[in-house]
Amino acid sequence: MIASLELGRRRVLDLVESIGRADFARYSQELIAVAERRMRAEISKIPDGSYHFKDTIEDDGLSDGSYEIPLLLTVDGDEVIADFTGAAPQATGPVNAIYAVTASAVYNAFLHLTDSSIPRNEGVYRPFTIIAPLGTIVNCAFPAPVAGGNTETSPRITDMVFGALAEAIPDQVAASCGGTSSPFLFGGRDPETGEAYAHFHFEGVGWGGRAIGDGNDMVVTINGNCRNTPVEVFESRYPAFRVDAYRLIGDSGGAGKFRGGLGGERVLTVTTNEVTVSALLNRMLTSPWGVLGGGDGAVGGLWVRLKGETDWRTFSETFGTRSPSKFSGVVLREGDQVKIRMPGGGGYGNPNERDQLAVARDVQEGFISEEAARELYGWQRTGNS
Amino acid sequence: VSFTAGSAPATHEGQWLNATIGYLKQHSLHCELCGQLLPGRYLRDAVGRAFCGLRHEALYHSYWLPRYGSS
Repeated sequence: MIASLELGRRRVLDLVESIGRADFARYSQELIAVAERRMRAEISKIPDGSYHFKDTIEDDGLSDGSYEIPLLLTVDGDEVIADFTGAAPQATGPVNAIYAVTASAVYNAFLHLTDSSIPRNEGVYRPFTIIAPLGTIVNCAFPAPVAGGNTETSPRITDMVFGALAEAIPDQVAASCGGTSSPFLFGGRDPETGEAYAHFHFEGVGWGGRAIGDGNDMVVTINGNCRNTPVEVFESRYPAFRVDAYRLIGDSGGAGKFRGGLGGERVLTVTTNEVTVSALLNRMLTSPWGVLGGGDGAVGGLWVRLKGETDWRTFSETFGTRSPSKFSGVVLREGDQVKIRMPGGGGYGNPNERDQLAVARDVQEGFISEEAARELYGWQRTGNS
Repeated sequence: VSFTAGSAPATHEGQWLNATIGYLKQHSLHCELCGQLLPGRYLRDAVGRAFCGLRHEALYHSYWLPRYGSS
């Protein structure tokens, strides 16, 4: 990143030198103006109106209640107001978003919905007004903790924009993605070197189905910028865990003309004398929703199995954490196991409209079970499928 | 400065101010409409409300007040 920034700095200076400062400033302003005009033209294609949507963050790890986020999205000509008035008060636990995160999540949704060739600069954002009352989960005040604002609340807001506009621009939106970055954090000291290590681990989720196809399987949330961690990297870089399983979960994508992407599961076994773990997962209780007749995706989960035990149990059951999916500082020991299950994406459109060949392929690949294929898609096994 | 520019209602008056940001004291001035932190220059209307600028002051009257009333 440092190298690329340095190269960018040099290129900008070269450009200023070749065309002169005045022209450089003029062209820069015109680039911003072009981006603004093009974004306004895209917004103008959305029918004027006020569109409502509501979703929640399940809990903050320190209390039992959920945090409601309402959205009133007003499209008026070539401008948009995204109004979060009525959002829940900021949480004690780390699920709060600062204003910039909330605004970015709204922008991100519209960048998904509009022409991807529009230059990304200040002009793109000018048509938007984001109203996020101070002291709420979408615009918290100091000293509210914010670690999950980016990883959890941000994807929720982006999905909510899609949900709000589903009826207005059905060909452009997607159903809800798994909606959690599934943060699973661990750290300790390498028993061989004594060196401290820590890892903020993300997992992929199923993405929502959309008008042009099924949702992607097991990719980090739609407005994330991180990749899945391969097993080899996971095992070789950190001395904490062995990966016993890393797989897609059948039937986890919401049914639909275009089904939701599949969620997945990772099973880990502690390979060091002890490791300290924390978690900040969502969509463990409330399903990723489908749109336009599509079904909901499956929820996720987080379990632990201590060495010598046979049953998987939640962290609340085993360690007494307030939340089964949001906690910090739990110590696991060699031989203990963790199972992280990631949510699937919501489905898009009526499942009865799904291509039967696609259903047959899903059954063949194990993406959906025969039972689900019959119940949700009216599928019947034939001699060729 | 009169709020006569752009779409701002001409009946309101206020002035542009620069927020004083100290090193030790937390700065916590936010726009009355959008809730965003006002980092430096901001608009204060005749009754003391702070805004990012003329557009948000105008929207406060045309969008916010009709929906939610004065708080």
